[in-house]
Amino acid sequence: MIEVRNLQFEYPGREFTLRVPSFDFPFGSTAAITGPSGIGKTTFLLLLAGYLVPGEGKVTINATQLSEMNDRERRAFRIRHIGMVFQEFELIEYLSALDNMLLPFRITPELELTREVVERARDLSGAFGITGLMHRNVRRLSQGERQRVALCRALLTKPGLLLCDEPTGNLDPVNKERTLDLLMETVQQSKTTLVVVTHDHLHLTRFERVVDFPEISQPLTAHKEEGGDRP
Amino acid sequence: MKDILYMVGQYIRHHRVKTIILVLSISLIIYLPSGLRVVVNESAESLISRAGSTPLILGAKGSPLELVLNSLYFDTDAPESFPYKEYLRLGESPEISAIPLHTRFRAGEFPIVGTSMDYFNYRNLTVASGENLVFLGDCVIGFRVAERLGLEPGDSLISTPSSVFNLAGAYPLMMNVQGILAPSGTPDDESVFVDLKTAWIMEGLAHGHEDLQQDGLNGSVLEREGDNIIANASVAEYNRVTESNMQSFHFHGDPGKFPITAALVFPGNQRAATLLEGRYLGEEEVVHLVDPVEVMEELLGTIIKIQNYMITGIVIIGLSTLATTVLVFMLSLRLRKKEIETMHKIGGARRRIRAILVSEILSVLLMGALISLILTTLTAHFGPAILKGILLGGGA
Repeated sequence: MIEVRNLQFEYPGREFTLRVPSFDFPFGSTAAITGPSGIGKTTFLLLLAGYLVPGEGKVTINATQLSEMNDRERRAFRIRHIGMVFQEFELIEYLSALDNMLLPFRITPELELTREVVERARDLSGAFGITGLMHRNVRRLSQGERQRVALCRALLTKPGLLLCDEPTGNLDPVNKERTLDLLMETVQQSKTTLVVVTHDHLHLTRFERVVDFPEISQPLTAHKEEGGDRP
Repeated sequence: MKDILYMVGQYIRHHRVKTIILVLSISLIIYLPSGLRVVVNESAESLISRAGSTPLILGAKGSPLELVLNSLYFDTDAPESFPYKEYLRLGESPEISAIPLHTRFRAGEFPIVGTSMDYFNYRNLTVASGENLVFLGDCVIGFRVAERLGLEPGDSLISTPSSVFNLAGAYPLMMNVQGILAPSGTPDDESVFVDLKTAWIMEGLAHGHEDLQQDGLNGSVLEREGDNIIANASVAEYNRVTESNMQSFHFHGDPGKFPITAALVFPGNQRAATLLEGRYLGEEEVVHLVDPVEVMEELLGTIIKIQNYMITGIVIIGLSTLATTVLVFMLSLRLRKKEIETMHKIGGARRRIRAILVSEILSVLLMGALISLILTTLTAHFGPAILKGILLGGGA
C-alpha cells in the first residue's frame, strides 16, 4: 500500500507549494496520474520515490515510512524497491545498453552485480526485443530502443513499485503502443505496482485507476515551467 | 571498487580524445620542470665528476671553456695548439708531472687522441683485448668505437684528413688497431688513442718513404748534397707504418716546436700548483693554466641560470594550463549534471557516485603523473648525454 498523509512540499526559493492531504493506493495495481502541466505531478512522483523530502506529512511505501529515513536509508530503499523511468530516458551516454541496465548495481553497495543479474538482464532484453543491441552504445539506438533499455534498467532490480514519468511522451504512436504493451505485460507478470504520470488520454483505459492530480492535491501557487511540469 | 573502476574505464574509453589531451597536458605540466631539473642535475654531476678528476689543464691562451671541454671530452673543435716545449718545460720541476694531449684529428666520428702511456694509467683504462700501444702507427680504441665500427685487434682504422684541400701534408694514416679498451663509461669509450708521435705523423711532421739511396730511385732524385737528398713527387710516401717500413719514418724540424693541444698537469702539492699558476700569469706567456672544476662550475652556473629562467616560464605556462584543466573538469561536471542527477534519482549511494567522479579525475591525474615519471626517467637516462652533446657541439 502507498499511503500519503498531509504531504506538503515546497522548493526553496520558489513560489510553489504542493499539498496532498491524502492518497492511498494498493500494491500490485496500476495507476495513471494525469493533470495539467506545472501542477506538481513529477514532484509528487519524486516524493513517492523518496528523492524529494516533504516539509510536512508522511509518505509510506508498503509500511516503510520514507519521511522518517535519512538520506542514505532512502537511497538504499529506492534502489532496492523502486524502479524509475523518465520521459527523457536518462541513459548514460558513454555506456552500452547492457551497462545502462546494470547501472543500479554499479552505483550502490546495496546491490551486488552477479552473473545471475547479468543473465536476468539478458532475459529482460529478450522480452523487450533488444537482445542484439546489448553491447551497442545507447547513442546509437532509436528512441523506442532507448526507452526499452530504460524500462529494463528500472525492472532489473525487481522493484515492488515502478514509477514512470511520461514514459511514452517522446515516442511515436507505434512505439508508444508497443512500449505500453510491454510495460503492462511485465508489471502484471511480476505483480509490480505501477504509477505512471501521463498526458496521453488515449491509453488511460489500460490502467486500473486513473488519478486526476488536481483532485488529490491543493497547490497554493502553480509555477509553470517551460517543457515540463516540474516546478 | 571494481564497479567504480569499471565506470571510470568506460567514461575514459568513450571520451578518449579529451582524456588523451588532458593527460598529455598534465604530464607536460609535471614533466617539463622536473625533466629539466633532472637533466641539468645529472649533467652537472657527470660534467663535474670528469672535471674533478683532472687537476689542471695547460693550453694555448684563448677560451678556457673550449680548452677544458676539448681536453676532457675530445669531442669539440680542437683549441689552438701550442709548442711541445711548453710541455717539456713543465717537466723541469720535479714536483710536477704532466700528460700531453693532441686532439686535432678524427677517425670518422671519433676523435683521435695523441698522448702518452701515462694517460691510460691516470684514467685507469685497461686493455680488454689485444695489447696497448707498442709501435708508431698503432692505436687502441674505446669499446664503443670497436662496437660501432666492428673492429678487432689486428684490424686497421684510417684517420680522416683535417681538410680535403690540405695538399701540403696531413695525409690520412692507416692505423693498426692494437687493442680495445675495457668500458669506462667516459668519453674515452668513444675515442681512438695513439702515441703523440703518431699524431705528429698525421700532422705531416714525420713521414716515411722509399729509400732514396736505392739505385732504382735515381730518377726521382733532383739534388744530392752529402746526406741531404732532394727528390721529386714520384717518391712513394707510406700511409701506414709497418714492421718493414718503420725504420724509414723520421721527423723533420725541432720537436720542441711540434704542436700539442693541451697538457693535463698534476702538481705534487698545493705549493707547486700555486707557483705554476703564477708562472703563466705573465703576458708574454703563450699558454695559460686553467682549473677545469672552476671552468665547469662557471658553465653550470650559466646553465642553471638558464634553467631557472626556463622553469619560471614553464611554471607560468603550467599554471595557465592547470587553470584550463580545472576549467575542463568543471565544465565536464556541469555537462554531466543530468547524468549525476539520474544516478541520485535511481538511488545511487552518494559516496559511490562521488567516488566515481573523483576517480575519473584522479585517473587522468595519475596517468599524467605516470607519463611524466616515465619521461623524467628516460630524461635522467638519456638527457645528460643529449645535453653534453649540445654543449660539446656534436654527438655525445
